[in-house]
Amino acid sequence: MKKLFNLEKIKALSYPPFKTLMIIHFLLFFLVILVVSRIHFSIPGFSVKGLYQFPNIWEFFPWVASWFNIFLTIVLITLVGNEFSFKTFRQNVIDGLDRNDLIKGKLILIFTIAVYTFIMVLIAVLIFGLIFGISLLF
Amino acid sequence: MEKVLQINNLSKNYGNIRAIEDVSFEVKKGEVYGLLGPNGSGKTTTLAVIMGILNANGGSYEWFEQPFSKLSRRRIGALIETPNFYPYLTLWENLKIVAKIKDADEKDINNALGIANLLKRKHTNFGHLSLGMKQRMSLASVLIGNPEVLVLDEPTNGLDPEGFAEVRNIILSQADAGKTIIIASHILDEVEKVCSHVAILKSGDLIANGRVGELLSAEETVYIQTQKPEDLIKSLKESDLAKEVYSSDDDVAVVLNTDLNSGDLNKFCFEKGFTLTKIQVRKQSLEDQFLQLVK
Repeated sequence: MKKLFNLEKIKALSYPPFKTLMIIHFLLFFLVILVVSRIHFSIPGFSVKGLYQFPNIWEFFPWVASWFNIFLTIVLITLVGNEFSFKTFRQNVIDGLDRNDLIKGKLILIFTIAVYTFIMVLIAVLIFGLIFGISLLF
Repeated sequence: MEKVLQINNLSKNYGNIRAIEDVSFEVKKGEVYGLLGPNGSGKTTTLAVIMGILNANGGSYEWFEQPFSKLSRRRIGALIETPNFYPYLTLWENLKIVAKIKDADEKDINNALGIANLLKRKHTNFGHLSLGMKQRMSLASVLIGNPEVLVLDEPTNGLDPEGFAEVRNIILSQADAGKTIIIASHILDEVEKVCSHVAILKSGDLIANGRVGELLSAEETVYIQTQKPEDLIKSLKESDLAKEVYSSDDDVAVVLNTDLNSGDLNKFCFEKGFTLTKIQVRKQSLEDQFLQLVK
């Protein structure tokens, strides 16, 4: 598993479109939540500020993050597609990987990206939730 | 001598198209074995099957006298068809992937790049290399993990004479180091200069195999000219003098039976009343042999 993870790490981290799309995903997510946090809008029963407070923030941030999942999808499709267009899947099998290992490797990649976005959203939720929660106290 | 590869009646079809049928041969340790044949003869299919990329429709094969397994694959370095690497990764990164797959030491990377004369280019992206360098990079990747056997599919494909010579020297140095090498090629010169043994494939059938030296020396050909070549061919075919008689441009080419020589042929022609205007003994080149076999 560690070997497959390391292989996918080398393949992905050195791939310029991977870095670009992941940075775009990260920036767009934080840009949206920062911009929305500056909006002072409220109607009876709803306030934008309320979205940044616990427990609403647990639903709001993952919802915003889901808008940009398209970038992650493109990254994954490109990385898997590359293996076929560069015929490197075939080369990996020649070099000694099982066909199952290749599929496992890509599943590990998908899982890793999922974990990364989960952690990114979790950290954002904790930071913004705490900031907006504390600011309400004062 | 230890058998490295044993192929028994191997067959592979692509739908209704027969790629190879009943191909059998064996490769022993230390041999440089050439798979020779025109395009579409089944060389790459044979290599792809024995490397486990394609499943055979019939027959069997064994590596190191055991069924093909992950362990035996570790002992083999293979290049099938074109060099397949990640163009956006550097040579070093590409070889790092290969080293990880083969559980080889990363020290092997520099060593392999050194052998392929690419050490200075190790931080260049694979996509930026020339075709010759890509082929040498393939050889470097094959050498990772110091495998006992190298399987190379047309390693000099598309190279200029200089690149051809460079790759050939790398292969020869590996052969001198005691590695067993299996090369598929349609370049006769490459096989003649590099291989100790050769198997010739045509339309998926194995039509000849043996030592390159034997294939060459056994087939000494006498080229003769006369005013009535058709009659001479007929007479020779009726006699037990010639193993094979065929027309070659303006000449009649005669492959004599063992223990006979050009003097015997000359005597035969004289006795039959043919006046020879030319008699030339030529050791048949691999090309002549090859063309004759695939005709």
